[in-house]
Amino acid sequence: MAARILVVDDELDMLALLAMIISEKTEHKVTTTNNPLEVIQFVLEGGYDLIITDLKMPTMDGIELIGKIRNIDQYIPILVITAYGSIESAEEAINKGAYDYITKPFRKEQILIAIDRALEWKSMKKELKELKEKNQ
Amino acid sequence: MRRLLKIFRREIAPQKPVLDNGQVFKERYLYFKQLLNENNAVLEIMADMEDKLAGEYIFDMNYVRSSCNKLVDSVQNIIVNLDKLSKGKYPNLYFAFAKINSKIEAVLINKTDIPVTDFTIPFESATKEMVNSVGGKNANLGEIKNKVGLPVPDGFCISAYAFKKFIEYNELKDKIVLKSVDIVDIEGLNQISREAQNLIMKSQIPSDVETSMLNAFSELSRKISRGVSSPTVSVRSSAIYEDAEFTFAGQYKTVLNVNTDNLIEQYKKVIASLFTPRAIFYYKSKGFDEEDMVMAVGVVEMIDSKASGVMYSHDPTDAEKNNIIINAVWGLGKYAVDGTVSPNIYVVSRDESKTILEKTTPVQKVMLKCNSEEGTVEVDVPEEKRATSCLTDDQIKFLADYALALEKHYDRPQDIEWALDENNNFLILQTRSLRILKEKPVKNIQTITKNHKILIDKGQIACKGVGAGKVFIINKEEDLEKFPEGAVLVAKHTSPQFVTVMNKTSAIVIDVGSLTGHMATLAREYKIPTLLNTEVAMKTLKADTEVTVDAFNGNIYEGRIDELVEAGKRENHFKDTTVFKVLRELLKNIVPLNLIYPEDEKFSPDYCETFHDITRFSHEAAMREMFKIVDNPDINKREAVKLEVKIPLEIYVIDLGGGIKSDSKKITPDHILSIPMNALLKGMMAIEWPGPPPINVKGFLSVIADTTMQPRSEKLLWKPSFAIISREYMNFNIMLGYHIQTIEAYAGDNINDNYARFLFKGGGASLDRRTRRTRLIKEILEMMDFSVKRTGDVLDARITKYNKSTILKKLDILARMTAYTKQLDMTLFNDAMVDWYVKEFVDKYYKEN
Repeated sequence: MAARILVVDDELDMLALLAMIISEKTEHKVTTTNNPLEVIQFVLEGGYDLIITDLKMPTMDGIELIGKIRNIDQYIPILVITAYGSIESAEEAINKGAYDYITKPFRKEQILIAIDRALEWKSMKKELKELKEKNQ
Repeated sequence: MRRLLKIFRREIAPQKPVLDNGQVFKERYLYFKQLLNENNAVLEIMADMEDKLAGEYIFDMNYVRSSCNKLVDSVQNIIVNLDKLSKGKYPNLYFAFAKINSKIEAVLINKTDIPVTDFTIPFESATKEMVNSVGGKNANLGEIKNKVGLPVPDGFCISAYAFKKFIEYNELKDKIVLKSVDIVDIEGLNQISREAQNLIMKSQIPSDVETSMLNAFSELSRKISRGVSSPTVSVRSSAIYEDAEFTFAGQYKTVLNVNTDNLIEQYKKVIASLFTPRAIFYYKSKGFDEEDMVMAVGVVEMIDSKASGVMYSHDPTDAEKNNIIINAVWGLGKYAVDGTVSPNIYVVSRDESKTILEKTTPVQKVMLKCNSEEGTVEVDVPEEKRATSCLTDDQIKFLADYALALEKHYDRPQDIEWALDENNNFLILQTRSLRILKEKPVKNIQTITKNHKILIDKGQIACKGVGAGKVFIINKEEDLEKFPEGAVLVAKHTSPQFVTVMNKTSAIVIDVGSLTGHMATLAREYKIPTLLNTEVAMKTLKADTEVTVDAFNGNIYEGRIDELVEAGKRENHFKDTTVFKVLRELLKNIVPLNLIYPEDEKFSPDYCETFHDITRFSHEAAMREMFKIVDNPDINKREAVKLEVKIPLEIYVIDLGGGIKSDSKKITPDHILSIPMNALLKGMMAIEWPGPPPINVKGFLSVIADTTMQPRSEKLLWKPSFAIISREYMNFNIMLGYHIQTIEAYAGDNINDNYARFLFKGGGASLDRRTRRTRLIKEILEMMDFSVKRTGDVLDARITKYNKSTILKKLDILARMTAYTKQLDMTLFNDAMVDWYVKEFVDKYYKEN
């Protein structure tokens, strides 16, 4: 199923590369931005199934961004990309509500698998929620 | 015999110890070890960076920078350690390093100087190399016109240099202050952006720039007027940084249908669009200064096209289909791109026939045209045209040929904007790589290879890919001279010298080698599919037979499988991104190897062009220094301990650390911890040290039947032998009566460090006998996979980059050979004897291993 994915990274190459892989290998639609400040707007507009974000960005810390996204959307999975050697901040991100993290540099397949899993998780959450509502 | 030896020993009295070099040795060994570690670090980082370039990984500039930093540190450490080890013998290495390092820094910083050019440059003189002067879009139009030879609109570029002059003339650098901008503050960004744009609009174009622009414009008008009174142009941004082009697509301004009176005003509008809030954010967050914000502009003949559109030289949704896709609308192309109207769609086959496979012609009611004064205007499509195809079949085929020509020139599928003018001439407005192309589905490997036998299914992949060709086996260095074009190189072990044939090698298969060694690094640089540690290739692969090497899955197939080779050539679109380009550019200063032959006079610091050169040179030089460590006239026994061993040698041992487990002055082989020394001693003790020639052997008697023994006239050398050892290292200088031989070895856990070296020299016998003896040893060593250099009676043999256990096996054989050849020169009175002895040794000692 085609999903909509929002990719946030201050480095343009990363955006280009991620957009390229996802569009080459999957049916998903990708929106990219190198400005974390825009992310909030995107999330408010809605319609995204997954957010992939860098942790270190010049205008807004990734951790802060996760908090802001969670204030708007409780459920959207956030996949965090961290630089090698900064596992602590990745763990902090998970504590703040990120779904998973992946460490740079990584293989193409790794990110594709991570995306699949995150989307599966999202649909499971949704089904669970619907089931609960039905049972109530 | 034993008695004789005792006598000789007494004849030459042991010298009294003079000096203590133990500490010196230890220090130097430490430098050597550190150098080895750094050498490995460099090789690993290089391998990792090359691996990233293969396109399977996602990485960022941070990775590139930190890898470079690590590399720089390690290379520096190598130089420092060699400096200490050699006592400052190679000061020029520092210069070589500085030269290479500054090139690397330049690539990393990626500052583009604005070349001094004319203020305006006609398209006739632009090419894609001029991107720093005219910007990406202009450079590309010039390339299409001048290199591909396809028609583009006439026009000229207003150069980056003109922009720079404009900024300088108005002192805008001081007025537009971006330094204090807080890029988190969006309102602040907007404010600065508005101010900067206002400043530009209010500024004056320097008169010489203005004159140049107006002259170029009237020159252009003359060319394009074709009877029209006042021709118009479009004024387009043409960014300098590719990055910028990518991020700001559609944000920089393009003004259509501009006439001579407002050219200057519109130029200012376009360059003002450089200072959008987003652009400022980008430049600031990347650490660029405002002076890096530069824009060139294109002034292009306005084509009030009859029809226009976009075409793809390949179907972007299905490459398998092999089709060209063309879309077309009536009027200007903007409506085709922005989706205002549904375009005509033509699908054309890419083959010779250019068959039109599909044609969709929706009704088009409105179109965009140039306004008679200025700007554009939407008008109705004439009734009779609304439902008809914009292009005739002949025109469609004609245009399809353009698509293929552009694809051929740029060597990848293209996304092309085109226009048809009122006189039915096609023009190319823009072309760029067609980025998102679904990869061809790769056929199941099993299906492709099912009719081919797998010859070898083991080995490690050093460079991914598939290559096919005839097997060419390299036994010794000279074989490389006969290496045929397109062959598959098969060898027992790796050698950096293989680089000399890498331009004509289709694949490399090596039975033993290191993934991070010099050769593997070079194979990756040349992108040659390479398998290492296949173990059995030398035995299994037959010279001159065709094979296909699949270095994706680690298989070698019988015969040539072209389909598999094709499947291996999958395009990698990643390679267009800046981070790849930067990495590729950097590796040019890191990986290529220019210092190939250690005996070459150019094997020196002065000829080091890359970090790889420095690393290889330093490693060689360090090994040379270590080898010579005992070549010291002052060597003595005070620091040494005597080794009591049941072989006819007087051995003294100097421990560099971890080589001996006793403090006593006398030790036995049980006290030796040194891994290579133990292996050697084991071999030496296992063999019976030779007595007189084996006269009871039938074959031997027949050989000597017609010769007479020559009397022994040469003087025996008899001195103590020194072994300098550590846990992994041994440098054993053996005094063997008539000659000196040195066995040096490093046997550790990293295959890149490991080597064994055997140097054989001198002897008292006549030259012909000495020569015979070295021939004998050379033949035996070559059978043991050593690479051997013989100059007269001096023999230098080496084996490198084998795992520890193999090195130890080789030492065992070296030990046996040492004993065996000890006095051979006494008996080698004719050449036939040599052959006999080689055979005897191999039968007796080598085959059992």
